[in-house]
Amino acid sequence: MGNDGEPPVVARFRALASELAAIVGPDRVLSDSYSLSLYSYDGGADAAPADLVVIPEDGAQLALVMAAVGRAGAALVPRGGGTGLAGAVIPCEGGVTISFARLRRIISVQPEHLTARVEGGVVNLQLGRAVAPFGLQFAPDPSSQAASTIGGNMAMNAGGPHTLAYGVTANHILGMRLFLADGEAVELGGLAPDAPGYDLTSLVVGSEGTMGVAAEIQVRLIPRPEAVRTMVAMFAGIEQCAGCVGAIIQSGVIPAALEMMDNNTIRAIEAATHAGYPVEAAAVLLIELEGILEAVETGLESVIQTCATAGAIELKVARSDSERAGLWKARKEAGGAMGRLAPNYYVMDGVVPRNTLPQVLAAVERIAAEHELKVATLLHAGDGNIHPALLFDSDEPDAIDRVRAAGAEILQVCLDYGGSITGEHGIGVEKLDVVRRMFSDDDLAIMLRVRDVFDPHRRCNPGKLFPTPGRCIELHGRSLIEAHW
Amino acid sequence: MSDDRYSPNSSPWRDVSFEEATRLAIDGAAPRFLASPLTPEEVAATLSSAAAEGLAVCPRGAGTKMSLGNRPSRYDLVLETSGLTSVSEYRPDDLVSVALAGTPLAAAQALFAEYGQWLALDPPFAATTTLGGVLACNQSGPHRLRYGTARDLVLGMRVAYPDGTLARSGAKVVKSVAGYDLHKMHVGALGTLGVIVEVALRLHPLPEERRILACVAPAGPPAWSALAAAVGGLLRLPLALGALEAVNREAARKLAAEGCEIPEGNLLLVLCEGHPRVVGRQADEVGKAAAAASLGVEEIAAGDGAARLIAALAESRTPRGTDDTVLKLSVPPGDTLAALAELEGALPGASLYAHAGSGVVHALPRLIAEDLPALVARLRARARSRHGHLVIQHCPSGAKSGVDVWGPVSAPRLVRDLKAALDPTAVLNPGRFVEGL
Repeated sequence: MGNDGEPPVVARFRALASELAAIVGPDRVLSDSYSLSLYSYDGGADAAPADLVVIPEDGAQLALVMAAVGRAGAALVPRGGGTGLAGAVIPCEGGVTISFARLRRIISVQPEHLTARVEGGVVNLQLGRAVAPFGLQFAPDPSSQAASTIGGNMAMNAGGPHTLAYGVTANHILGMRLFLADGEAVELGGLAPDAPGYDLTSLVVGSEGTMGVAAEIQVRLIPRPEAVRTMVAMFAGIEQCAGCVGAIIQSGVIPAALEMMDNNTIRAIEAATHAGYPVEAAAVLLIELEGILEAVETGLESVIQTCATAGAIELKVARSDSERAGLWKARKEAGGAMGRLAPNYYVMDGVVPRNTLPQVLAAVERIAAEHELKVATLLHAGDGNIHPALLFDSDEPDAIDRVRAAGAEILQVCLDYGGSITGEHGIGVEKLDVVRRMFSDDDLAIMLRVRDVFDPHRRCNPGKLFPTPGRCIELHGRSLIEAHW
Repeated sequence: MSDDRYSPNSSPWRDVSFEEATRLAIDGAAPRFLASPLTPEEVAATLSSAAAEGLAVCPRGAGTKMSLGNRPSRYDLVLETSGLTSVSEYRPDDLVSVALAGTPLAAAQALFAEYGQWLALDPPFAATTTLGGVLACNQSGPHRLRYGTARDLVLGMRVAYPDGTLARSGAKVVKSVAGYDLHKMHVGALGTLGVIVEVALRLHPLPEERRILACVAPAGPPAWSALAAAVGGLLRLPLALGALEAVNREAARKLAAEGCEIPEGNLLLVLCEGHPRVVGRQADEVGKAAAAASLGVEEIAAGDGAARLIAALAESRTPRGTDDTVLKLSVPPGDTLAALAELEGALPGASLYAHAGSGVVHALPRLIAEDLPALVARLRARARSRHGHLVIQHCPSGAKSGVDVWGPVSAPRLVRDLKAALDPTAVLNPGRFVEGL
């Protein structure tokens, strides 16, 4: 097939486009350059266009789409809300982007088994609203939860402020229906625990779409708390504030959330939201306790004591739901507020042992200063997950080079302290060049062998997670832009 | 011990004595060679040498679960991890520890307890089992209700593969999404994909107070539905209970005979734990749930006594002799007690133990070995109709020839291909795992 003179690759996608149009309808297959550019990026800094975007309506169409793409041997990239920050849904090797925009049915809620089954495109907050009437919740709460999907949360093993007490997404996925690259569907895990055989569900969670496409996901639900208390602890020094985190962790109280913000971050969010954070503090902890009333009250007493001992200059407990909501709204919108501090910023994501936070944050400040950059730091401190935002003006000479150099040094500090290069954003394309600093060639070779079991031709989300020199597009073509987290 | 065992001229293993061959036999199959590597690197070197010589290797920690799995199809070399014992890192103010796989669980727990912490796993054989054994066999206990299972607590791993590769996954911090979580794949893989040599673990604070309340079911058939109603009510509240265990009359009798102070009858045992005020509230809610289901309730243990009873409940799911059979049924959590009631009908006189909030029931039936295959086939069909699984955790060696102890798996092709990708010549535990792997 194909027109005279047409390159074979284009001809191949032309044939596939017709086949897909027959499945989903012509208006649900996009191939014009404007549409492709709309689907070419996520919340991160990089972009690349797919050859086709297809938007299946339901699971039956998805099965047919997967089979057609499999027969064509095309690369495929599943796309949820597109809120990721690491470029994991960028079709950097072209191929077919499969949008989950229409696959957003909540298939069943079974409160007696504390579970729900959903299509991959169900939005995190949508699931939360659907199960709330049963007194239940889906615990992972990434800051993108108003737009990010359960499929995306699963593929990236998303975190969020409340993962401290409840665990990350991996702890809340019971199973799934997974399409492999050749279009075969497999059921993994399920309602009953401890299935015999290898735990393939846990393997697929967090694999960034490189093993297959999850059509339906079985999630674990937990009871909603009956009480929630939120407090802010202010510190005159960033080191004391960071030290308080380890003290709280060791005290035996596990807050639902334990967030830290430095002075630059506080100033940015106060200017944007007037939520009541103290702009004069060097750093603050935002601490939330939830559960039964007695657990919240005793936990709060203990945390207040720990903060006082650690040198907090002021403690403020939110007196009302609206005050509490204001504190969280400001926190979750911190990303946008950073724009008040500098024309551009680059949000990092690393993890360190919680007892090393004072030294690590000092190192972050030092590195930023050495590269003549300002930094605003925000942490899921309870998890040791740091999000320094490097502030810059892309019009300044060498600014982007300085940001890159500082970013690389900060991740090295995380590794030097025994931590990780990513706590929740993932590798995607953003961190391909630092993966080898955390994992040896042997480590990666074993992972690739596992990948090839699921996807021997490496067609599922190619170019992600594993460094493959020379294959991918010229990345970082776009300037680093603002991103939220 | 001399280090030259691993010089190029010396063998990484030695012949076993007659006594050792008897002690180390699995389902009647005895090994010829024994290796006791002292470092992760030596484990990897031993595996690659064994692979080169075509030897079949069975890893062994404390040897408490060697009867788990099908009869090995080949067994030449036992690889003991008893030389890999150290807690290499422990950061109490990060609630994280890293330890070699041969480290006894009890030794690690004793260390963590000095800082008021623990690894929140309370598996059977707790006194002797190793960390590697607990993870490779995915062992859990009553506390799985609150803390989940090993996959929820393991942060990272170093694993030795049959080609001699020593590879890591995960990290030594509580949150990381870098790379594949291969460590979770090795949990429950029975050492068939690689030998776990080092683990990074997430720890939890020990509770200040523990109390166990018992709800006694009325006699007669509605017993389990009344207990199920109480369980259902408690699971829907954010109580963070330590454990919800159910035992039948026969199991309660056995526990009492072993010195546990528990009432007679079909029981629901609720572990309340945490701050004393939290425990008080939990106990109040247990009382309310019991009253709503017309059940009597009484406190039967507190403090160390409660901890001992929980440990006894974990231990009670283990065979008392080589002729015992232990079946493990898993079902959707809300069906746990219905499944238990059904087992009681199918297995008269069996001792039954349920993790009542988690969908797991263990049965120690009275039966003769010849009846096992037919019984398992029947129970498996019932389990499947509940979307569940039935695994034989232990049975007499002679009974294994007629039955697959694991039963069917989902995605069998992926399971087989995964084995072929990481252990292509079937060096590790051949024949013992699912699908004849």
